[in-house]
This record gives sequence, C-alpha cells and structure tokens, in this order.
Amino acid sequence: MSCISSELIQKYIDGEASKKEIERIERHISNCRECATQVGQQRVLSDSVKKAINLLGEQPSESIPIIIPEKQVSRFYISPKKILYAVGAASILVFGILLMNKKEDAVQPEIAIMPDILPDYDANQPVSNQPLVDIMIDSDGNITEYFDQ
Amino acid sequence: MLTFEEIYHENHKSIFRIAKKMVSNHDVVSDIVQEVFIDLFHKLNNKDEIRNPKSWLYRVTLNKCIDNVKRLNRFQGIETISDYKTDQETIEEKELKDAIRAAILKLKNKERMLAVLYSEGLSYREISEITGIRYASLGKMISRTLEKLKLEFKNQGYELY
Repeated sequence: MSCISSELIQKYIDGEASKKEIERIERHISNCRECATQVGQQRVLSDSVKKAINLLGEQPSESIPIIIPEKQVSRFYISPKKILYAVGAASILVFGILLMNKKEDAVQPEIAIMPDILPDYDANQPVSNQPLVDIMIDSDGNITEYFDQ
Repeated sequence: MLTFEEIYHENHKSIFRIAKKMVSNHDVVSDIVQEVFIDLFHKLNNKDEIRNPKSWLYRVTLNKCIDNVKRLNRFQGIETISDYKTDQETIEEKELKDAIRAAILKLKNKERMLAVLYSEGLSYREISEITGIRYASLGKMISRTLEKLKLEFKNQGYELY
C-alpha cells in the first residue's frame, strides 16, 4: 500500500481534508504504523509551532490608542476617484465640442467660381480685351453666369 | 457595510497580535497598527468598497510589517531583536521569545506570513484570500514551513517538543 503524503496529513490535521480524503487516511493509518506515527508527530509539530508563535503575540497590559481622524475630509483633499470623474467629464465635453465643429464644417456651403472665355471670342484680340464670363456653381449644383461688361 | 468603529472594535486586537508576531519593536507595532486603521478610515471615507474588511486588514498589516523588516535590513543589515522587556517577563521568557523571533525571521516573507496566519487559527480559505497563495497549495506549503521552523528553532537552541 502507498503511504500518504505529508501534505495530505497536514490537511487532515488542520481539518481541511475532504470526506473522501479523511476516509482514505483513517483507513490507511489503521493499517500503517509508520503513517500513524507521522500523523501524530505532525500534529504535535503543528500545535507546538502555533504555541511558540502565539507567545510573541501576547497583548500589552494597556491597549494602543488609535487616533481616529475627524470625519470631514480636508477641503484641499481631492480623492483620486473624483479626479478620474472630472477628467472623464472634461474628455466627454471636449469630444462633444470637436464633434460639433466637425458637423459645422461638413455643412459649410461650398461655392466654386470659374472664369471662362465666351465661345465667340475674337482670336485677333488680346485676352485682356476678350469678353469674360464668371461661372459660379453653388453647393446645390446651381450654375450662375456673370458676364463681364 | 460595517462602520469604521465596528470594524475597529472587531479586529484591533487581532491586528495588533499579528503585527506583534511579525515585528519585534513595540513602538513600530503601534505605528503600524495606527497606519493600518487610518488607511481603513480613508478608504471607507472615500466610499471605496472593501469586500472583506478582516482579510483586507490582515493583508495590509502583514505587508506593512514586511516593508518595515525590509527597511531595517537595508539600513542595519539585520533586524534588531528587541531589547524591549515587559515587567511581567522573566529573562528566560525574553530569551525564548527572541529565539522564536530569530527562527521566524529566517523564513521567506511568504512563509513568515503563512506561519503567523496559521498560528492565528485561520482556515485555509481565509489564508488563501489574505496571502494570495492558491488554496490547493496550502497543505504542502504549511507542512514545509513547519518543518523549516522546527529546524530553525533547533538551530536557536530551542526544542519544540
């Protein structure tokens, strides 16, 4: 039969073993003197260590005074949470403003103006003497012609 | 949610005891316990949620104690075994406590935390929540830590049983 590990014995001693594990251990130690001895020794070790360490934690005769701060928070103190909320709100505001500006840009009317020469121009005359027409196309696609006088 | 006063009254003795087991100097223990409860007060004041106040207090106390030991080691090389002796203590009792403390200081930080929490009679689940050690690993770790302590106690000239 395979003996039980010290890890399992420790769990058993500390009351952390499962029902199945307890049954297995108790069945085993009833037949294995070595493991039964080990369980006993580990139990004594655990108790002794606890007792030794607990010597260090003895309470003083007087209790330590704890100075509890006043409930109001210093007016200059801003909690990290509040700072985070403020930054978040500011970011949303900036984002909103940028988004609005972008929309305004999108609806800004675009007008194209193209100067042109009339089809019936006189080739013997310089360009400066030629009658010109300014063709204006608005954002809706409407064309307006302005003739030079 | 419990109030600060309720949490304090429920836990201040055990917090003091934990700190005393980790740190030898009584004044340092008082400072640590004070700091822990002031931290708790600020957390509750800021409406920060603490799911399990007891675990939180234990964890913060242990971490502050370990930081204290690290700081002392950095400047002094070894932690000073306290020459603080209460009027109720005999010299033999003080020497015994010094031997126990020296043995505990030989452990790694995690092992020391484990030994102290184990001595408090906490369940494996509670120890796991406080230390972050996996529940399934605790049996093995506790068993090894106890064996290590047995050896250290022997090195200090202290027979456990």
